Amino acid sequence: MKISEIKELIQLVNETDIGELEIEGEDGRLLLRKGRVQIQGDHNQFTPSSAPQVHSMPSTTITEPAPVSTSIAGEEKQGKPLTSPMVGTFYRASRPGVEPFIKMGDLVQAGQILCIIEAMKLMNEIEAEFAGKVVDILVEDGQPVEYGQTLFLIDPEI
Amino acid sequence: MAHSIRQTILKMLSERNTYLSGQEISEKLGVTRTSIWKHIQKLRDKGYQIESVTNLGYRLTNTPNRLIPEEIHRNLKTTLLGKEIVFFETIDSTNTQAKLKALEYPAGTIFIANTQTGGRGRLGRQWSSEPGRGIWCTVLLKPTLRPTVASQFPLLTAVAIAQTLCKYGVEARIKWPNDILVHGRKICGILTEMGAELDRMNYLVIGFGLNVKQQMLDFPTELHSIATSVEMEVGEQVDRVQLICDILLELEQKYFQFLTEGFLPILRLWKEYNCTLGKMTRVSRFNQPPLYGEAIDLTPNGALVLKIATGQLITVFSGEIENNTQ
Repeated sequence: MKISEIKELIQLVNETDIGELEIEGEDGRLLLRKGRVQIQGDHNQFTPSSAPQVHSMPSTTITEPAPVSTSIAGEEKQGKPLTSPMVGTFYRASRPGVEPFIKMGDLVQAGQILCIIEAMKLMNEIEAEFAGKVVDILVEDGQPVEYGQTLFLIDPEI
Repeated sequence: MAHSIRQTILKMLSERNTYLSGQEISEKLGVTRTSIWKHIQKLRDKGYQIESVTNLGYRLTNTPNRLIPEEIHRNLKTTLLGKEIVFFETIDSTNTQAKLKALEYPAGTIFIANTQTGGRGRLGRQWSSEPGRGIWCTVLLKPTLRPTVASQFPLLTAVAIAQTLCKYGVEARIKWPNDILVHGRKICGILTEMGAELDRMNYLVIGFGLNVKQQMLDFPTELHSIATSVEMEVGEQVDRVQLICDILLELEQKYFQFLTEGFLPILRLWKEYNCTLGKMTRVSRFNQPPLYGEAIDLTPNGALVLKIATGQLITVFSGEIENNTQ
């Protein structure tokens, strides 16, 4: 789900009397609850607020994405999403015709280069924030990506 | 320390038209006359011609026509860019080196080479770096900005270089986003790379390869119809040291302007110097079908707005531009 879609949902919820809205889709679960923040695992902490709060379960913020699962051809994939820090074009290799930085199932180290995002000839080498196993690659080589779009699922448990 | 003493001696010598006594240097810098003599020898080794006359002192009679840190320091008027210079006689790529050493060196450091063995452009394309002929330079910056604005730096750099070249009498124009062309031939390429986290830039390396002293036959055959150099355009000798100092000063001013006023004034200048807008254009893209349409504008972030046959507007973030009508 895109940030813009979430923003739109927040606005819609805000304009109604709905207190709570939960949506479940292929790319995870989203819970909007008006008036207070619920922190997973600590139900006693409430922060009053007039605006609805966004929850991407079970994490508490959307900038620190929660584990999501994708279901492709019946196969369930678990992992933490790695998102794009900018709008641009996604490249899996340093140049056409060479081995991609990573493949499905690879074990990556924190700091290892996973892909390049290009915008206006600025090349941004995206590094793994944590070590883990690449369980899904969600973007095709050469495809445009949005800010915040999930590029990879990486399972830190392995 | 030895380096900065040598730099000061050189500066004193170049500011003096007549002889500068060893005694005067010694008093000013607080070093022995033997030590001064050693520094003078080092400068001579680097190609400076320094005359020494008993009872009169030293006199600078000629400077090396080389792009070396001593010469850049002597002419540079910036406050940040080029304060530290890393020089290589031969290196793979100044961008590669700058990225490797990004955390080790301060913001503003420049990396230059007499020649590059693996000079590269976008998507690993080769860049021809003839020894001693061009300016092969990478600038290291560490702005505290969000990574999303980093893609405006290639356009900013192109504006700074195009403006400087125009002052030299070169009719430089910018092809989106940052190639610099003269009558359709490439004179300068820019490759910007970033190291960043989700919400923070760690470093930005801006590499530019500028053809300065090449004549047609210096270029590989396949570039003969598509490359040019500053000297080919102006028809006279151009001093690479002065040129790099002028570019660094312009780039620094544009950078500071960007930090205080944002991208808009830079974007306006980009449009003034561009040769892309208003033309029928083909955009070739990796692993994607090419786009055809009229390049009508840039977005406030510097992306290209293409009007395709259906009248639909498409925002382009990457791709190679080819104009059907030059």
